[in-house]
Amino acid sequence: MGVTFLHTADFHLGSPLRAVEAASESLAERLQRATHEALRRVIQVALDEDVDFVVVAGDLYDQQARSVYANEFLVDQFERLEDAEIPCYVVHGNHDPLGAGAEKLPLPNNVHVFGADDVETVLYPNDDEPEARIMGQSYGSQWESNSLYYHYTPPDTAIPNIGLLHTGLNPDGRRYAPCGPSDLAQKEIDYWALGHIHTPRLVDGAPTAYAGIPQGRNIGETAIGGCLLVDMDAGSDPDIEFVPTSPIVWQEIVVDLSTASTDDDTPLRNLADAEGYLEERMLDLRAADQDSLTDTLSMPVAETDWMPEGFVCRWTLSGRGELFEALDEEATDMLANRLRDRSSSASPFVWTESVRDYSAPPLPDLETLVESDEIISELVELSNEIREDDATRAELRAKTGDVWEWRADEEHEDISEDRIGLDEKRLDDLIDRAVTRSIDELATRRDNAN
Amino acid sequence: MQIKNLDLDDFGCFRRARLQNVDSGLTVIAGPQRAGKTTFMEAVRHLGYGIPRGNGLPPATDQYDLTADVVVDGAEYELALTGYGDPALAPVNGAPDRALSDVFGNLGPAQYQQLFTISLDELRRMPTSLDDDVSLSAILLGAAYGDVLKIPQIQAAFSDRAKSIGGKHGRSVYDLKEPISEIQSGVDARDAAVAQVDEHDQKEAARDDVNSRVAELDEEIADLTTEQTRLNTVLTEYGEFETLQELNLELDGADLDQIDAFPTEQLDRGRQLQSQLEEVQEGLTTAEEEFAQQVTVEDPEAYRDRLLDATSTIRAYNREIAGWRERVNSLQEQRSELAKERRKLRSRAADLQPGWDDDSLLDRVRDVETDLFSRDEVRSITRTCEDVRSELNEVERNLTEKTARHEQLEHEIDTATDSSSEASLSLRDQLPVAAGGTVLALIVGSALGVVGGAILGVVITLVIILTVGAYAASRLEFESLEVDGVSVETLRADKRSLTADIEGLRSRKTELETEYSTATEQLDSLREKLGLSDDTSPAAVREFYADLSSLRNDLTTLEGDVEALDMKEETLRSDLAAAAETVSELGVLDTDNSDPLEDAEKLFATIESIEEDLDLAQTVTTAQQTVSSRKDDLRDLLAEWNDAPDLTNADSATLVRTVDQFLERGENVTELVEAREQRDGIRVRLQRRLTVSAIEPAFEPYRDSEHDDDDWAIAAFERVIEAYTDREAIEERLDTIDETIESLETERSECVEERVELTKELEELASDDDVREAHATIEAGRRRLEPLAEEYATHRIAEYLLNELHERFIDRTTGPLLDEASEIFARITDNAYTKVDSTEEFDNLDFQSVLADGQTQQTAELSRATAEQLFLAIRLARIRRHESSLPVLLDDSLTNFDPSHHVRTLQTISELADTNQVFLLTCHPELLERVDTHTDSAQYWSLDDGQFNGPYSKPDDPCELLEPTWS
Repeated sequence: MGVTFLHTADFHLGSPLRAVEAASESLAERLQRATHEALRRVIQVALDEDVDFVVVAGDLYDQQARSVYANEFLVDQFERLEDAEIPCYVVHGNHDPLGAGAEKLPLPNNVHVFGADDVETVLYPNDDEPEARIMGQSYGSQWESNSLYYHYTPPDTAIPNIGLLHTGLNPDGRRYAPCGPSDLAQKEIDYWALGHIHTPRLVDGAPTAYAGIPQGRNIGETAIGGCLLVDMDAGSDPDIEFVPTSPIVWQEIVVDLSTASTDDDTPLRNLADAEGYLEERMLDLRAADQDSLTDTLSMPVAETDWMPEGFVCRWTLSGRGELFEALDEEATDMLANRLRDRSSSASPFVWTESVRDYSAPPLPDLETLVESDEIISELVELSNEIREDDATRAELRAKTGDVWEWRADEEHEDISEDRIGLDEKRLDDLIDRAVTRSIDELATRRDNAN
Repeated sequence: MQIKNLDLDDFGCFRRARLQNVDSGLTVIAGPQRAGKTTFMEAVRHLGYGIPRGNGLPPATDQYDLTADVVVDGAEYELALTGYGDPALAPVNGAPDRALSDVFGNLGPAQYQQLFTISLDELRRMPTSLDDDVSLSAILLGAAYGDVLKIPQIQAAFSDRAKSIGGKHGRSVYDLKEPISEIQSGVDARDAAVAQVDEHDQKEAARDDVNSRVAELDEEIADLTTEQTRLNTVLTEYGEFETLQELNLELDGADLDQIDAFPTEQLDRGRQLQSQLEEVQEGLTTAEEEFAQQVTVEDPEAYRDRLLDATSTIRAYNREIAGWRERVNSLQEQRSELAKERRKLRSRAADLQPGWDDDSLLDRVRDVETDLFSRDEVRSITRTCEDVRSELNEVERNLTEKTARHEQLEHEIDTATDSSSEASLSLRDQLPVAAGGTVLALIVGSALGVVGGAILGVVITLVIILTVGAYAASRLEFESLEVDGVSVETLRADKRSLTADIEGLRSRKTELETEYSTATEQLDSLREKLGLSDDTSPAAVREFYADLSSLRNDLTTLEGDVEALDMKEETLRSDLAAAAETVSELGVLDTDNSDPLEDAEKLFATIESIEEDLDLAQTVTTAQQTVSSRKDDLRDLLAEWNDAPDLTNADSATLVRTVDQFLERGENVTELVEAREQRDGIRVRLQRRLTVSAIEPAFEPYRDSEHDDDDWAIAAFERVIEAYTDREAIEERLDTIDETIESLETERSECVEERVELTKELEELASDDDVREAHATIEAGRRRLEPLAEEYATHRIAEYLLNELHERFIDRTTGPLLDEASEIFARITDNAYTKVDSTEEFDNLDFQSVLADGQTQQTAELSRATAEQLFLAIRLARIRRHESSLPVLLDDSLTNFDPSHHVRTLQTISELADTNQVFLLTCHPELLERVDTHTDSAQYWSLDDGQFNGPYSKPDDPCELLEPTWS
């Protein structure tokens, strides 16, 4: 006995795309409504595919972005499923926990919301002739330190068992239902429908998948948004297909000034060169097809006619090059504005979120510098030592300033908006940048002295 | 490196000066002031680096020319410097190639000069600034120290930049302040925006409450409005209701059955009939009196009866009167007309036959037997006479003419006999014509005979024959005439024809004369009978007969008319007689022996008078009948009144009285009926008013289940009134209701306003505009914050790194150096000072000297000599630590030392000479002596005027040079 269902999660309804404040009115509207549109499309997929049911693995809305409009929209979408007699099984996550502060939504009868006290079991389509068993437990508060998975114990394996869980899949975590793939694999669950991580992916070592966010909201969510169509029989591996839905795709395009060149094969030297180069990349982006956009996903992708309405793009200028001299805050702003003027009204549009300048002055490569300069050599050695030294890293974390907030393992979601999350990787990035800047200064000053 | 030989061929005061076989250890070069010691030091300083232009160095005579034989790590090289060119290092004796910089340990020229060639002045000089690349610190602290010295600068720049971004702690100050403030304002706005959902819920609940309250108010107002309607209705209908109650009271004691049985509907009629009876009764009396006055008979009533009996006759006579008058008049007129006509006839008769007697004129006319001769006979006789006479006259005339012609012809024939034959030919020529015509006549006649009948055929045949014959005859005559006077034959023929005609005419004349005679006889007879004279022409006879016949006819007609008129007169007389007889019978006309026709007018007047009487009589009769009819009507009417007496034979007066009673009773009944009708009317009106849609609901609460009929409303009305003592109580209650409703309406109005406001707020709260805007604000702030935070962190980390780097360099470079310097300094100062330390303020580098008792002294606190000793110790230590053993030059550097310090310093230098070639340049002979005394070995040279002398193993010669009195 098999079932076909749609697995989705992390709508974060109401949470706007973080790129809209400078957009034109019509574009801003599209960007602002993108999360809504993505959800509408997800529901449309369920209707078009005539799935047996829909599972939602948490974070339907964002308490930090809640609005009556978003709530009503969510209810409307569930009602579309109700009209098609498609049941919907929902757990709540860290952004929309049940309990105090939870939205009191007038959900239609086709929606079953799993409680936060215990793991609940619901049989599809009914208790008399069950075809699938769905188990789930919602978050009761912003953080869930219990390993909820442990109690997902189906009574039998005669029908497909589906576990609905919102987790960071971090066994060492403290906040988001800590567990690991191996933990999940132990359970007699045929398919773990997970939410919380916004990149769609299959989890190695367990019949587990994240549906991802239907629409990425910031530059950290560059993966194509969508949902999963799951076809499964009891006791066998589920067939999983990713269906893209996001109307907007985030892209961070890193330009290495040490290799980037103009059409004449000369390095980028000035803003005009940079603008021309980025325009070319913009055209490349607009010419991208579904395969190229989804090829980073490590899962089968359904054949659809999906194409994004547009891209929100961050251009990161890095590496050493002559262009460095031409770049400052005013220049990057001007570059961003020019790029916005180019393709923001095309189809698909390309909206430049920002141009980030991490470039460095044109110097010999690091190896040469290390060999020829005792101080730089010493500096590199010092930085390598520091990276490996926890105590020093801790000291450096403190140096980054109060504006940074340290998060060793967990996500940065609960960090105050006026602070920036800092983790090991970010610290490494900052150290790299500091080393580069120091080398720049040392080398430049020495050259000047000579 | 060690200088083995040095040729100063051209350098300042040196020309071809030679230092040969210089010792690898301590070499003391003694020379007086301006002997060239400092110039020598400059030469050595630049030997390995070349001579910079514009350097302030002693000039060359020609061009700088220095050559040194040096030993590096046991290998020999020639180091040559010419002019301003780079020095050249050339291996000697198979020495390996070496880079000059390598030989000099990669020291820069300044570093080498400052570190290894020490003048007294330079020894004294303190490091002045970090920007001074040739600062003593840099020289002292090693090759990389120049770069290391920059680290604090860069570090400080990073720090400054970081500070300008986020202050000391990377908080919301300076550059970070604005984006963080923006974020915080966005967060505040977002908190407020997300709170809108709760606010929405609250407002929605509040709106529900308001809606409930409005519903309650509506209900209360509706209830009060109902009561208001009810009580207003009660007040409005209060009077009616009171009347109703009074009427009920009045009607309660009445026998309504009797009232219903009373024919009230007849009251008006009764009143009317009574009035009419009285009226017609009066009319009857008047008519009777008028009739009595009109008639003259003794018994008017009998006369009236007779009149009435003869009504139709009288009416008929009256209708005939006009006709009778017409007939009488007509008779008289006709009789006059006939008399007139008779006179005319007499006149005509007299005119016709004057001979007749006047008296018998018309008789004579009547007597003429016109019947004996018919009109046709008279006409025939007279016409025949006239026609025969006329024809006879014509025949006679023709006969005369033809006879005369005949005679003429005879005469012509006689005179023209020659032409007779032609005449006969002409006649023959005409025969075919006659024969042809005859044949044609026969054919056509026969044909027509076949077609149209035999008679027609014969007639046509004859006509044709005659025609042709006539033609032929005329032709013949014409032919003969044409040959007038020529054809005798023709003349003869004419003559024969005339003869025949004459004979015919004579025969005819005879016949006519006979006929005429006969006709004349008849005419005479006619004349006779008509009494006409014999000479009366036939036409006159015929005319007389016609006139007489006409007169006779007119007379006959007149007589007929007279006879008819007589008959009419008789008929009229008979009619009038009958009328007179009738009138006579009525007793108003005496008809004895009178001709009714003659008394016609009297009769007519009588009849007309009688009709007037009849009219009056009939008026009386009609009045009587009307009175009777009214009495019958009244009887019939009163018969419907149960309480009426027997009125079968009642007279009018009784009837009128009874009617009065009836009417009186009727008025009572009417009053009751009216009361009842009024009551019923009031009930119906009340019922209707109370049950109109606007009012009925107001009384529903008072509806009694017992009253399911239409009366329920009045019963309810009554119950409402019973609840109040009087009108005033109701009015008071109404006032209270008005006030309450007003108050409730006010509250309702406020609620509605509140609801509108809430609805508007709800619409605003339902929008996600605010939350979106707040997020946009946060995001805008974050987008600005993140690069700044990265920049801050990067700078702070860089600052940290550079600090670490710097310290590491300082530690690594200055630690061992200062240890050695401490040791040297302690030795020189004989342990007065035990340690040399450095400050960590690199922008103001200084060395600290630690006294034996642990006190620390900054350089400025030291005596001049001690400071020089300190810096010398540091330099020596630095020289010791340098990897390359380069020659060291000390130019009178120990001048200010007291002897004990001097000796200890020389000992230290002597030890340095174990590793480095040391040149001591001095002008002080005591120094040479101390060297000689306190060092293991030294080579001595004298220098004077740019020329070296030596080497000496003892200082005596050089001392002699310095101080001639030395020895």
